[in-house]
Amino acid sequence: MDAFLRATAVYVLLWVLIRISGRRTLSEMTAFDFILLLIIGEATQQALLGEDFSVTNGAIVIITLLSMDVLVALVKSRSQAASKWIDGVPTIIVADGKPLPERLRMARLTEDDILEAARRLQGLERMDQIKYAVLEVSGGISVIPQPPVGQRGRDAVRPHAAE
Amino acid sequence: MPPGRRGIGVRLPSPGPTLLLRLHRPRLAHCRGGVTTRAAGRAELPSWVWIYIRARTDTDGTMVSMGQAQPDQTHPPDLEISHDLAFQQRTWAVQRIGWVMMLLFVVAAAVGLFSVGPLSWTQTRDPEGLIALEYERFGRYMAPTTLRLRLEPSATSRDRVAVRMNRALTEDLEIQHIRPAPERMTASPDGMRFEFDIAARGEPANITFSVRPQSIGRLRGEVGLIGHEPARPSLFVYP
Repeated sequence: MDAFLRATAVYVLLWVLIRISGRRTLSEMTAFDFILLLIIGEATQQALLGEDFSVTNGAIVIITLLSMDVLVALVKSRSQAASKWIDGVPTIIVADGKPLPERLRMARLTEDDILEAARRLQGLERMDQIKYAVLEVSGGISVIPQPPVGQRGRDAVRPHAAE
Repeated sequence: MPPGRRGIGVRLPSPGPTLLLRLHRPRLAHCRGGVTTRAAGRAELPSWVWIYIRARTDTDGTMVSMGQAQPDQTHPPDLEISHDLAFQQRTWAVQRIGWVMMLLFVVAAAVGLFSVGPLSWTQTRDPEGLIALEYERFGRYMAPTTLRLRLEPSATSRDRVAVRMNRALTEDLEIQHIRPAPERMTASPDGMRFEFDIAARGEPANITFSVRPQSIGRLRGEVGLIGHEPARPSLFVYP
């Protein structure tokens, strides 16, 4: 019972903390972020296992955590609302070559982060070559390049008009 | 028009399964209390939807114009994405509250609200002033802590002194060691009795109990000399 409660409490606590600290924290990892993650793992381990080093205790903790994960995945696949709560939603941060400053600020991103992602993923050089950049649920930035000059305009962002 | 809440309906082309409105900030500035939007028929949107916008009117009663309300243009028609800006903005707001709470948590931990710290150390005495008990008000489950018992000169008038602890302390705290070790430990219905030899009569003496909390929650202890009113420490043990 104790191990089950510990595992559940730690699972919920970690979810809340990671959701609060923002998605970039654990995804676009720098070397330091990685070390931080290891330390968090180490601190969590103590709270999970306590002083009981038995295999049974380990099994209870592991099975509880995996069951929680399966349960959460099931809930997410059933309900889009739950999925939004648990994982968050993707956010468009560049539309038609123009970064959206308010959203960047709130997401603690800079234009440099977007340009970096654009270089790394698409080999783009400038902001105006980006059609959309999206801050994904996973924490990464995905970049959709502008179509080649000849095709531009056809697929460009257009305001909603009566169709 | 008097100031207050007013509703206004706007007909807009349906932009897709998620409906987002961009409301112009300069106009929002004139309207106290903000603007709430409610989309009708979220599940199956027809080609046109009615959006009911409730807005607070300005002090002079002018209705905030909603003519500028239009779908969020940064929600592109050609990008298939479950984008929900309103939800994202709520998330960001909650995150910022969360950061403040994390900061408060760290400060609380630093001052000892979760054990080990200036706010946690405290002292209690028995009514007759024979003993003083220094202990941590906040403990943590299974984390070692100490109870420091000080015997005042008036308590060490004989060669041996008998200290009683109630059951809350002896059962919910695992006593790891006692320094100096008692000469005798006896069980009584309401707790335990410890008898210590006194080195110098009429001098103060210190006894340290190293303990580990075994239960979670409020713990009301009694520590005293036999035949005298006890000191009543009260501990709270975090899980």
